[in-house]
Amino acid sequence: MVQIHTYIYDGSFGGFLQAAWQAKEEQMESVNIVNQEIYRPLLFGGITKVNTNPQLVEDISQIVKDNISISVSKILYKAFLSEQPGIELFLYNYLSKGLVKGAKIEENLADDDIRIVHAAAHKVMKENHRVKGLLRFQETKSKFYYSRLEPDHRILVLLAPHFKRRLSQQNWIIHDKKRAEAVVYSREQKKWILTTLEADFEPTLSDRELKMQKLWKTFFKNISIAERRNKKLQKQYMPTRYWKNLIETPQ
Amino acid sequence: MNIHKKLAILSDAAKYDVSCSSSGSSRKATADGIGNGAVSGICHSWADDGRCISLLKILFTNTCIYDCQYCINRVSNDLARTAFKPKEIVDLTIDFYRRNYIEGLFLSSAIHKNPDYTMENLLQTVKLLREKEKFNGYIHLKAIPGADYKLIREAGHYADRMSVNIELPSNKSLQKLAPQKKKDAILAPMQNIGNGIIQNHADRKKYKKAPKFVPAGHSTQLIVGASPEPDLQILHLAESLYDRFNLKRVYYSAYMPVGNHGGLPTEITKPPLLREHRLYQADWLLRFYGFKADELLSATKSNFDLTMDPKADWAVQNMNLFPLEVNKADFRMLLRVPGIGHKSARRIVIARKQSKLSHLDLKKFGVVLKRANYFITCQGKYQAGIPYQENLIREKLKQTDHAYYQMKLFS
Ligand code: SF4
Repeated sequence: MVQIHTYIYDGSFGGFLQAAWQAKEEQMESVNIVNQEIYRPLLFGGITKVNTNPQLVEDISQIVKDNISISVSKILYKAFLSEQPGIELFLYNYLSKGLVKGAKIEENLADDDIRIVHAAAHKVMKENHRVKGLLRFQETKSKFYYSRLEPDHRILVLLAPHFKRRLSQQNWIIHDKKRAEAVVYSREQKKWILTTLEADFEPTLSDRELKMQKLWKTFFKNISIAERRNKKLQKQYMPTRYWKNLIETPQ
Repeated sequence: MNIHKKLAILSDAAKYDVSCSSSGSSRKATADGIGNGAVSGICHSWADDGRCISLLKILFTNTCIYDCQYCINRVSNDLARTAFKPKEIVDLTIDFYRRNYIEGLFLSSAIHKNPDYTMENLLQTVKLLREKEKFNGYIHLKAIPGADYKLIREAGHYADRMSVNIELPSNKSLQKLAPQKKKDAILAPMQNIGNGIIQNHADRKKYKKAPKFVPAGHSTQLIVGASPEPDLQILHLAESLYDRFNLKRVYYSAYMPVGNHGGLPTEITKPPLLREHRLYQADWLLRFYGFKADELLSATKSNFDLTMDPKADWAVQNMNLFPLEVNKADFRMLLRVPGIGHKSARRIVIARKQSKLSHLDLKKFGVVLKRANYFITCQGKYQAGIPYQENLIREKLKQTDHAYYQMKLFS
């Protein structure tokens, strides 16, 4: 019986890359790569705990870009953010095949490893695009703009650059309640950082904010044409799981 | 009147304009400004009618000197009238944008006093937004037919998109239902804007710094079902607008009874949504799939079959061109197969260089086999499960489209 060797990493993409690299170099017959947060010991097989080394991670990602392509390195990162259970193994296989075949690997769509990774990356980008629209900022008493999300995927780091470009003149926070983390942007420093933020954090809203919310609700109601009412279509584009963090109230 | 009441009236009055696209703008953020364009457009919500909300869509005023019979704002209609001040619109736009409710503003207007006065108000509003507030989000602005083109041209340097609505798809219907509107007054600004865009592209090739003019293109809207024109006539009009006026989009709006005025069809009680849907599908085929209006419809068949989409309808009428071997067929023909779209066609062309494709591969690429099967072979294999006969295939396609239609259009 082939024994599975498990590599445990710290949950970061860099950590994963390093673990994948190490697994490749050690040429184990059968590997598994697991986030330490969800790792449960198996009865058989060895384990290696990987300590992330930023310099090494840097080198590995450069190798991926040079020997496969920048496009593939982006796909791997996005697919990683999907947090799809077991995605690490598909990423590992993709990486191994990519290092043999080069940039062309991306076209190999009949290969399940390639297709599954692309599909995961696609899901992440789809949610990222959707949330760029559905996210709502609320002005707080202390004059920053706060928004809360419970996204399927770990998209905060993809959203932050978008809102930094777009709303650079206001302080804002995007809070992922599901993962108890947030990106916080400061208009003075023109920078955003990813940090932890408790899931039950709730700021106090400004008076003006409540007035604006009322105006937006009025607009939302009046822009709909009663004779064309179509709840099914609405739900298809805007799944109900996103509704509770909106301001408007679809009826 | 308070801002709340105004917004209620002037958004309600604007809702019949179906366009809400925010795509095509690559306007960059500036260090001291707010907002930027997103080339592919972003929807921020979906209204209870299932339509995307991307822009703050409002009229400047619903007070009108004209009496277009299909329009709720016509002078003879008894309803509450009001107007925004430019500053009020600017503040609403910025406040909504800061909260990420919208991609920008879609500002239209009824004709208050005269076309020039109306256009001046619109111009002043967008100028404030761009110059005072340094707003770089999306702006879609109506060009008012009959207004001095100088005003329209100036506005075109602030807007991302402009539009003039033709509304009725023939001169005859215009004369009958909107007697004060002149066909030439509608077409002239469209032609000018279209030429202006082409000229601007050329200028910007020479001088990188030349200011942009309507960079996201211009569009129009046609009302479907308020007048007797068949689909073929509507589609011909759309085709020539795309070709001759360099239009980005034609929108189709199913006619909704808004009063019982003479000259309008009285038998319509519900908007003809399915017909509208077929026209959108056909329009898509014109723009992205290389079809011509005359391939899709003819003098003997001048309206679309409501039971199946125009592409499937075309395919069953051209059985002699199929079935297609997907491992050999050229890209242009692949695009014409029902159930194969741009993305799956591209994937097929890329992947078949590596290995011969099977039906299973196609499924993985997103081909809708229950529609495509009748028109393709993979390595010589035909897998439709029924004989290659028009009437049988037509029946099957109807069934699959029916399901799709139920899902999309009825709640
Ligand atoms: S000019 Fe425009 S707003 Fe006025 S009645 Fe005609 S369509 Fe309606």
